[in-house]
Amino acid sequence: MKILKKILIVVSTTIIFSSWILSSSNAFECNIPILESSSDAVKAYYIPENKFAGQFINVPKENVENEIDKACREKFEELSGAKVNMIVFPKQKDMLDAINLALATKSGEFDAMTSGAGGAKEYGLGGHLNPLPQPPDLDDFYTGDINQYSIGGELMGIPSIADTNILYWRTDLFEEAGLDPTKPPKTYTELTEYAKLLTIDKNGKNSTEEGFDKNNIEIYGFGFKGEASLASPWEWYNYLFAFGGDLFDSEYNIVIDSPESIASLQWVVDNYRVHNIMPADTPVYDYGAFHTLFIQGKMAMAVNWPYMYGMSQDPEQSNVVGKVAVGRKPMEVRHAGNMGGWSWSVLKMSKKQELASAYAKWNGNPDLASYQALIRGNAPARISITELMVKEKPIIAGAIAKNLPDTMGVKWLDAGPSWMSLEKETWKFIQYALTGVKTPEQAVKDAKVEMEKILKRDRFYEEIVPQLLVN
Amino acid sequence: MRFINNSNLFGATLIIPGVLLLSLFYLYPLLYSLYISLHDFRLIRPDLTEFVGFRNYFEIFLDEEFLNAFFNTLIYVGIALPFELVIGLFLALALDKITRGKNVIRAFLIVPQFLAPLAMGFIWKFMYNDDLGIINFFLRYVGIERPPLWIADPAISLYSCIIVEIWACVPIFMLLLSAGLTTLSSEIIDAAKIDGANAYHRFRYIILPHLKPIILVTLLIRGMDSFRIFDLIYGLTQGGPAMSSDVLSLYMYRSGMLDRQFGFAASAGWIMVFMMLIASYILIKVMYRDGINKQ
Repeated sequence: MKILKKILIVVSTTIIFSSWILSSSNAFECNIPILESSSDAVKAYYIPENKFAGQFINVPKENVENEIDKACREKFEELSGAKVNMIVFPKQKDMLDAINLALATKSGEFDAMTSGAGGAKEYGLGGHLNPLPQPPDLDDFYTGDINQYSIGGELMGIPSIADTNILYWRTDLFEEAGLDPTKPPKTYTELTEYAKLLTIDKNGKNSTEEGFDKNNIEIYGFGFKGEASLASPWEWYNYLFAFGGDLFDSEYNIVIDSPESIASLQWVVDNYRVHNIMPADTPVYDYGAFHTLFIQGKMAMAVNWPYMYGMSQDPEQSNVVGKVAVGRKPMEVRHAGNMGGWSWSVLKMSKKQELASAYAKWNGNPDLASYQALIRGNAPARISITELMVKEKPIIAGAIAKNLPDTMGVKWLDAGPSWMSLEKETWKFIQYALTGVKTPEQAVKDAKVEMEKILKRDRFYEEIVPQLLVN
Repeated sequence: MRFINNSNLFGATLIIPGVLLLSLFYLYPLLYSLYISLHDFRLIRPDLTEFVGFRNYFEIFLDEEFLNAFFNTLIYVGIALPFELVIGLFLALALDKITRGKNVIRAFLIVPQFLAPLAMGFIWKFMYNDDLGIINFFLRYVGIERPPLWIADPAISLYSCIIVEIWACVPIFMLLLSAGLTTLSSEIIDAAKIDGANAYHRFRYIILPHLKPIILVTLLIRGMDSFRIFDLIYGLTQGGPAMSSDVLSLYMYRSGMLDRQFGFAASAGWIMVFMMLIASYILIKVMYRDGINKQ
């Protein structure tokens, strides 16, 4: 028994010690060579001064810190002398719920925060953020990104990750269908025609052929995330903008019922209900089902965020390794698509404004942007990093670089606190149209009435628009 | 000593900690939600919060989304509960007849209870998937050319959620009714057989009355759970497509967390409470219309 106990102690210690050694030897180190070779003004903006010893800030975060986040946080702590307490939540929704609760109860619990595309504007317009000073390298950021995180010319969030949808297509299926795999569709109308040829039933017939069995489709020409969540509107915005439509006009009147907007929705609905080039379950397709179908080889073309490329090239989970090309999304009247991304902001409730501001700015620095892009594969928030990435990862970075300049901001984000209500009405009308409960025209007209009520309820025109039109 | 001997006082003292905890974690939130329901309550815009009296309670009935969720919830509960009861009772009676392997079969049948409802929703979402799911794969295999679009068709998505609810909750009924059957004396059944009672008579006049209290309690508990169902539907359909499977809890969640209209959400919650109280009262009245003492 005593010998057994000794053996157990030795084995456990070895395992723990080995793991520690291995993890230490593979640990990511947050070096900042780009920053250090930058101008003094840039260094002064991003590198914190070592004057925060003994201080700490609380930062809510969605999902566990990855090694890059952790190493760069520790680097900040080393440079500043301060401690950053990362409070991790399982999902973004949980994180935002905690922030909202802290705001409502005025607890002062959090100091800096990171949020997705709508966050900086939503919380900024709600009066919960302090603006950040303009970075001296502002022109290294994408204009669309800066605009979506600014209010009245003031920067409420410094971009850390940009994001845009790209076009994916299966080169092998293009060849089989007699299409040139190096020439993806140029317009969305052309995309539909390609998709009809690429939609193949279990007997090998495409959807234009006599005897095509629409109840037994093996491969779909195209897909759409139609779920009752942000997935559907944030895919549809790509088509809305490309068809020449928009959400608000320049005076913030809702224009989703414009002919262009209705045409873009009709295009999606026709692809699903008339041409049968989309999966039958499209109205409930979320990101998971969508990318699973693609990497399982059952979808010939897709418009999605860049993350799917990495998945498609991973032999552990993909059936289409080496068969996927990516590139610029088609146009219809213009090349356009939505812009996503993440930014860092400073909460007004923080009692350590200077330290919180230093941390938020730190997270926008060019080295962190390069790690997010080059190592984690996120779309780069900076033009210079995009250029670097195109050299290092030409396929995916090239596709991102082609699409990023086309991006337009999703103007629902300008509605601030009303943003999520407007998104909800958007996914509702998309689903009404997709399922045939309403025609696209009726669906958007009814939704517009509801949206106008929401904006009136939230005093959008009295309180928010004056802030947006300041310039 | 006198204190301990005074059983009322002593008993009251013992339950005080529990009452305090209950007040703090139950009564206070309950009353605060009532307070919120009487206000136009904006979580992150407290400057816009104002007292509106019962306006939320009236306006909510003008909201088509609320009415849709309300009727969907009634359909959900109205269909799920009877099926859960009937199937659960059938399984309990069947299990009662089995002598060998009863425990193994019972353990197998209660597996759904081990799954978290949200996880269940996600699993069934993939099972229902037309291209990747096992159900339609099997239906096509047996020759059904166009199997149903279980959760993508607004006409049937709510019923697809109900199927999952029944699958998940039949074990509860089965377990509790099974337990109830074990307390039924076999001598009564034997005596009834001798008196010429057939299976139907034995079930109608002996087994069912015996199980009535358990049926009532199970219906009440399960009824309340079904009424406030959230995670299962959130995982399966998110209330879609086209709001066809939207239920009151999801409506409350959206009103509060997306629309930030906590007053509306709280008033929807209180309407649910009143509805459950009324339903429970009716159920008890119906089950015990002959009087409790006669049981």
